[in-house]
Amino acid sequence: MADTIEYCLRNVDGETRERLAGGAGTDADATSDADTGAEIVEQRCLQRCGDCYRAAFLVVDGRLETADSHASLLSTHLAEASDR
Amino acid sequence: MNVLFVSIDSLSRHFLDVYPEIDVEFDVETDNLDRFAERAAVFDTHYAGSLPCMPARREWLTGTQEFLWRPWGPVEPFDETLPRLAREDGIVTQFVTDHYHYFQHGSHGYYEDFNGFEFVRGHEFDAWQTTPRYPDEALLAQVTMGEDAPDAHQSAPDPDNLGFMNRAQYARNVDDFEDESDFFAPKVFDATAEWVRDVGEWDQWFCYVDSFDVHEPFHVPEPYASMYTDEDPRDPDLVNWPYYGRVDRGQSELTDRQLDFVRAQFAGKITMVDRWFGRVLDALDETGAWDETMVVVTADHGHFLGEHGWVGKPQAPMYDVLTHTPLFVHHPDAARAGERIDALTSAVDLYGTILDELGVEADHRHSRSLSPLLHGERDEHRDWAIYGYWGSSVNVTDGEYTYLHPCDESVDAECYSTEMMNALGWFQPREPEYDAEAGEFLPYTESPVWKWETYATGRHDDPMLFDVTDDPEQADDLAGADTEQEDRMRSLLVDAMEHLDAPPSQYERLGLP
Repeated sequence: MADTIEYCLRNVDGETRERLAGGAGTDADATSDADTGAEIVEQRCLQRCGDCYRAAFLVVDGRLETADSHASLLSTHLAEASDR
Repeated sequence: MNVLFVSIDSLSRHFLDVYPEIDVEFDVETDNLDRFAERAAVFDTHYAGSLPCMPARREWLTGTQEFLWRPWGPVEPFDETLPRLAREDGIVTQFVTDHYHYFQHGSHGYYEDFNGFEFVRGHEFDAWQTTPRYPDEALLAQVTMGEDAPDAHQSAPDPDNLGFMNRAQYARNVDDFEDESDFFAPKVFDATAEWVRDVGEWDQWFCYVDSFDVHEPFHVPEPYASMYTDEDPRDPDLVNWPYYGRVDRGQSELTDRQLDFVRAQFAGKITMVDRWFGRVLDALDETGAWDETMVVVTADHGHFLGEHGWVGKPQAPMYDVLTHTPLFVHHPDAARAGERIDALTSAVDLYGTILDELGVEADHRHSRSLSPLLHGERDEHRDWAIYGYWGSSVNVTDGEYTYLHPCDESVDAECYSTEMMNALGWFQPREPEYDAEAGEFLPYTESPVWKWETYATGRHDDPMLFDVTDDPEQADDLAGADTEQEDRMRSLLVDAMEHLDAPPSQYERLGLP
C-alpha cells in the first residue's frame, strides 16, 4: 500500500483534483486519504514536466507512475488498500 | 558611470561569512566575496520580490513587481528593459550568462535588447547535447536520488525518454567535461573578466552577468566536491540534484547522509563561484575600472537545504531562507562604501538604481532607487517589501518582522499578460486559454492584456509571523500570540497592495479587506 501519493496541479482536471483533494492539502500540510490510506500531496509542480505534458501521472512513494488517466492510476492503489 | 550587475543564482546568504546571523556547519571559503564586501556597501535587509528565477529578472530588468498579476513569463511589450534604455542613451550593453531559462519555453525578451550576449551552454535542462545517447551511469544516478534513496524508490532518468525536462539532458551536456574550466561558473566569470579587460574603447557600458551557479544540480569538480565532505563525491548513492519538497517524505525524501552531502556540494559550489568571481575583481583591479564603475552583486533567492524540513524551492511557507537575499554594491563615489546598510530594500529597487547611476531618465514603475542610500542622503528607504509566487501566499516585511499571509486555495487566481503563458507548467509548450478575456486591466499600462483564471497554490493554512531581528532563523511563529504585531503587519500588507494597486481579486483570494 502506498504511503505517499503526490500530484501536480497542472496535470489534473477539476474532477480528479476534487477526488484527490478529499485527502490532500498543500505540500505544507498534506493529509491522509481514507480510501487509499496514503498521504496525498498537491503541488504546483513536481519537476516532472516532460511526463506531465504527455500523460496523466502520479508520484507514488517517490516513483513516477503514468497512465492514460488518473482514474486508472488510482484504481491500483484503491485496490491495494482494500486488500489490506 | 559604468555598471556591472552580477547575479549569483540561489546564493543563500546564510552560507556567507559576510552574513553571520545564522550558523552553518561549514566555514565556506568566499575570499573574493569577502574582499569585495570590504569596498562595497553591504545591505543587511534586502528581500526578494517576485519569485522564482524569471519573475526576479523581470523585477531587475523592467522594475515590475509582477507576482500580484502574473507568473513566470516573458518581457511584456509595455516594459522598458534596462539594456534597451541604456543603449538608446548611447551606452553599450553586454550580457553574459549560462542561465538557459532565457532561451526556454515560457520566457523571452530578456536578452534581445543587449548589444551583445554570451550564452554558456549546457546547464541544468539546457537543450544542448543530444549525444552520447547513454551518458555516464553514475552521474545519471546522482542527478536523481541515487541507489541509497529511502526505500530505494528512485531510479535514474531514462535516456531514451525524449520528453521535456529529462535529467539525462544534464548528464549528456557535461559528459565530456574534464577540467574545472569546463564547468559553468568558470566560463561565465572568465568571459566577464575578458570583456571587462577589453571594453575600455567604449565611453560607457552596462554589463549584466547572470550566473546560474550556485543553482542545482550541485555537481561540481574537484577540489570543491571534496572540500566540505569526506564522502566520495562520485558515489552513485549520493544525490546532487534533489527534488523539491519535504525532506521526510515523497520524492524529495533524503537520508541524513544524502542531505549532508547535498549541503557540502552546495557549499563547494559557492567556493567555486567565488574563486572565478575573483577573476572579475582582478580584471577590475588591472584596468582601474573601479573608479568609474558601480558593481552590484546579488541573488534572486536562496535555496532550502533542510532548513524548516524542506529542500529546494518547494511549495513551502516563504521563509527567509528563500527570500532574504544578499546585496553588495560598490560605488566609487558612495558615502556608504565599506559600510553596512540596514534599511529595508527590495529586489525591484535595483532597476531604478541602475538607471540612476547610468544617468538614464525613465519611469521606475515599482522600483525605488537605492542611490540616495548609497550616497548618504538618507538612512531610510521603504516601509515594506512584499514578496511571493504568483497565485500563492502574499508576504510582507518591515525589516523587523515577516508576515506570511495564506491564500484561499479554493479561489482561483487571475493571470494578466499579453501572452498566454502556462501559469502552472511554465516550461511546457504553451496552450491557448480559451476562456481569456481582453481589457485594460493593469494599473501601470494602458495596453490591453489577457485575463484568465487558474488554480491557486497554497503554502500554509494560517498566517505566520516572525520577529526576524531576534529570531533570524524564524523558529518561533508568533502568529496568534502577538496579535498586535500580527494586526499591524496585516495592515502593512494591505497598505503595500493598495500602493501597488493590486487587482481586486487578490483581496478576495487572500481574505483581506
